[in-house]
Amino acid sequence: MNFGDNILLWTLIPLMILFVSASYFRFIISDDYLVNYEAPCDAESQSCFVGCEDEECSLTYNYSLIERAAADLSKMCGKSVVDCSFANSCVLDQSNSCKITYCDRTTSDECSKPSPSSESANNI
Amino acid sequence: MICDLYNEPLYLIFSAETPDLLYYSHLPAIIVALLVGLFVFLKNHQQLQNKLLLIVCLCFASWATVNLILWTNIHSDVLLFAWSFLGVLASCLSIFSIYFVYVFLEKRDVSKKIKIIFLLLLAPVLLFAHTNLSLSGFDLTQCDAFNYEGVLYKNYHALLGALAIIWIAVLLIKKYRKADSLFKRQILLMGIGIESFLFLFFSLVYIASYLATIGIDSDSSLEFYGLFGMIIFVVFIGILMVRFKTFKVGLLASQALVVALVILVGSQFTFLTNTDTKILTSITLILTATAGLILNRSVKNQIKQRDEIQNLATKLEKANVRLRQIDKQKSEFVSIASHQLRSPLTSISGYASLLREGTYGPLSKKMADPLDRIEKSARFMAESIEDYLNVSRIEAGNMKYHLSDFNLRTEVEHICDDKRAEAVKQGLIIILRTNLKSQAMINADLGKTQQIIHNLLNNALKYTKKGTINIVVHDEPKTKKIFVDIVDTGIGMDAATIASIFQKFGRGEQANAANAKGTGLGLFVALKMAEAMGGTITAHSEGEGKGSRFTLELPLIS
Repeated sequence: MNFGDNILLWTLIPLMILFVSASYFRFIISDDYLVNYEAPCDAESQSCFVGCEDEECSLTYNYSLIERAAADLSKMCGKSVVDCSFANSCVLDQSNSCKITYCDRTTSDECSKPSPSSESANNI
Repeated sequence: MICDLYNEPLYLIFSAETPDLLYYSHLPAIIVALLVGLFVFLKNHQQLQNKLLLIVCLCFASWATVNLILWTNIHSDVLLFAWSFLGVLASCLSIFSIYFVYVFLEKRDVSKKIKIIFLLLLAPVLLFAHTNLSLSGFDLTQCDAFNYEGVLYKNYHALLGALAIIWIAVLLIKKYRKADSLFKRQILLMGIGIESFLFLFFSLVYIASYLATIGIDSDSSLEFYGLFGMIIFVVFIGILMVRFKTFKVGLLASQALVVALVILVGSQFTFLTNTDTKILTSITLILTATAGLILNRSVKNQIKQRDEIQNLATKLEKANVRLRQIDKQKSEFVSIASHQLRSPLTSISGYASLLREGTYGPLSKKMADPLDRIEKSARFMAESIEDYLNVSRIEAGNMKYHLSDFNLRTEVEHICDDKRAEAVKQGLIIILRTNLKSQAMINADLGKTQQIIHNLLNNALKYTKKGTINIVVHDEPKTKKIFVDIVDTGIGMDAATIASIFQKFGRGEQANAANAKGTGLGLFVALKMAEAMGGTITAHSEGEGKGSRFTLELPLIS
């Protein structure tokens, strides 16, 4: 087979192999990406996002958003973030890649409202 | 990491928590694409366009399978690994669709330059697919990566889709303008099929992804409809296969394809639970089966028609071979007639002349008449042979004309002088008159022109028992034409005879009655010669017994 005539084939195949290998290494082996998930949020002290438990939204819950390196989370919590205290905050994270996002009341109306007692305490 | 809010799928792609339309849109499209691609390739794997159709189908089927995994899987690493394939496969689909259409239209491979352009367009997608430019993270709550897709990378492969649609449209339009009607229909079918497929696929997938990113359509289910484009494409490919044998896979293959399609749609009932989807599938099954039946009937008719045409073509081919043989035999006969019959005739004429001149001793008076008959018969036979040879040359297109400038009036005068003695012997008078406004110069074959006038004058002498033969040479300088009228007081002709005398072997009844010798080829040959020199011959007569007028018309030199 002539390389000139099959330049597309001979170049695409190595590029494909390179792409599949690199992608496999990054996402499957190294877990080199960020993950974003909902973490418990204390509405008494923070402005939390409010989520619905059902379609009618009769039951709500408060949460904050955490974004961190998947490799760190995987190392500390395994496959799931459920029942993993490390996942609930950025306190124990040493890689400085962890970031918590709370609800911004200036841009969203759907933030949790702090109880009056905590609000007065804050004012003191 | 896993998406805790969702359940693990069965066999990587089967999950109960998916939209109803997911399997309906994905599975038939994947199976049909693979079926068509593999079928066409395996039937004729030598053809480049078949290979490229397989690649297009494989790209699409892989994209749809990866997309199915994204809808059902819950492992972030598997999902991101699969997600990174979407852009690559969509880009390959765009580029190989262009490549496929190019080969379909041109029936040859693209140039090395275009291949390098294809490569340069694909290279960024492949090189950056695993980087943050393509994907940087994963949302475990939504179980997707829409918010982590690189805008530049995503827009780039969407633009490749748009480029493919435009590029293909340009190729199709350019070729359509130059193609014959049969290929135009093929181009039209291919154009509608592939453009519908690419437009539906790229526009809906891109819009769905965009709406998901901005949070309007959180599950991006709009992209399901984009996959139906492949079914449309396959239908048009099927029509091309059946009607035009485009992929040279045979008609049986098309029938098998229809059956496979019906089985495929019907098989969906095995996993459908939703009533709406069941109704939708039933309608699709009925439509597919009906279309399949119509198509099969059409295929049968087409096979029958094609076989008949094939038989006729074979018979025609045989007849052609036979005709060529006959033509060859005719040429051989003409050659024999030319060389082997003319030579003895020349000898007969020559010796008859010698006998008459007394070269072999004094001749008794009794011998004069038979010798005269021998001479006349030999001359007639020689003229007949010459007529046959001329017809043969005219029909074979071998008659040679050597054009030169000469004065027609002078030539007519010479011929009249030659024939005058013969006419007097018959008790006829030849009168030549001219009415010329020009020099009477023409550009024609001198020998052939003389032959025509001789022929016409001979006919006049042959069919005139008494009276005169008037020859008038006149011209029309305005129309640049010169005419030679040969008017006799002979047996004349009716309208039916006038219509037939210029045909091969066309002799009037009056001619036979007059017992004049003739082959019926002289006027045919004369007319063909006159036409070849830009002129013509016409005949007029008031009726039987009222004489005739033959007019030779030739162009004057301008």
